[in-house]
Amino acid sequence: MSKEHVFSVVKKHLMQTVDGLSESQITLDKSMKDLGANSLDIVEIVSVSMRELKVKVPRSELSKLADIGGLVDLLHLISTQAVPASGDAKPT
Amino acid sequence: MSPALEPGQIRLVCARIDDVVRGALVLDAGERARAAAITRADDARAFVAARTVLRRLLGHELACDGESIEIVETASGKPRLAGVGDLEFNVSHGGELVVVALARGRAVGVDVEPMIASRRRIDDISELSLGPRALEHLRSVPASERGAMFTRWWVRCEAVCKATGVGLIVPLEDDVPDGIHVEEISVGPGHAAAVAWSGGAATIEIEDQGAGS
Repeated sequence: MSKEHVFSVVKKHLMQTVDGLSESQITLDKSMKDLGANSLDIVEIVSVSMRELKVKVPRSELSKLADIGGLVDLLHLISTQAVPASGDAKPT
Repeated sequence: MSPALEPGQIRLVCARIDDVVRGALVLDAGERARAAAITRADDARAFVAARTVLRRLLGHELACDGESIEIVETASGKPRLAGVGDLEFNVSHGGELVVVALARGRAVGVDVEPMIASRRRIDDISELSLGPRALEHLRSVPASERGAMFTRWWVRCEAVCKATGVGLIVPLEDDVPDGIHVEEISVGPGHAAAVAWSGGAATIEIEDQGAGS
């Protein structure tokens, strides 16, 4: 799974969750909050992105994310490490 | 308006965003520029309403013009008063409402959200955001009640996170940390809200400016 694919999935769910957001506004250096997502929106975007990518991000990792690039990197890293898509396991 | 805040009190003001933005706004130049730069109209309205309610409340408490108060932001984006003082505040907006909490000498956090009605949305977010006991409890109630239960639980957790200074998207645990108190507040139908604070027991005083609580 490429990083570009991960970014496209996150972008899609961001646009579906935040009203009025266009694709060109979403860049890796922005935070989801910058783009108008509230904390519930952010959890929803991360959750549905994880489901579509069939990966599971440990909850403890989520608080460290500063921007969309950080989320994309994390989802991509976990997907390449083949962490099971259930439980709260950390990559080894 | 109420007399000056005492150390054992937490003052909450709850107002409708529509009502606030229809009246005179109380913002400084930086906030006006920031509001103009917010692309989504609803976000801009919520921001100016939240800052206006906050500045009115602070102006009353500090006996000064609300627009002249210097509000700065921490590295995590949390607004606070410039300079040294014991006045602490927190602001939240969600749905149609804005809520501001004010306290002296204690951390305070507040959150308001519209009740979540979408069953799919609850399923999407609950597994990631809830601790194991809370998740089990949520799944034990009828599906029709889960939206209200989840929203009420969420605002409690968010209020605690904001009072303790932990940022957004944190692992939300089932237990309230030692030394932190949290209480739900009634803000009328369609919304849930909660306030959390440190520093022992406190009296909660709610000023409803049209929210309908």
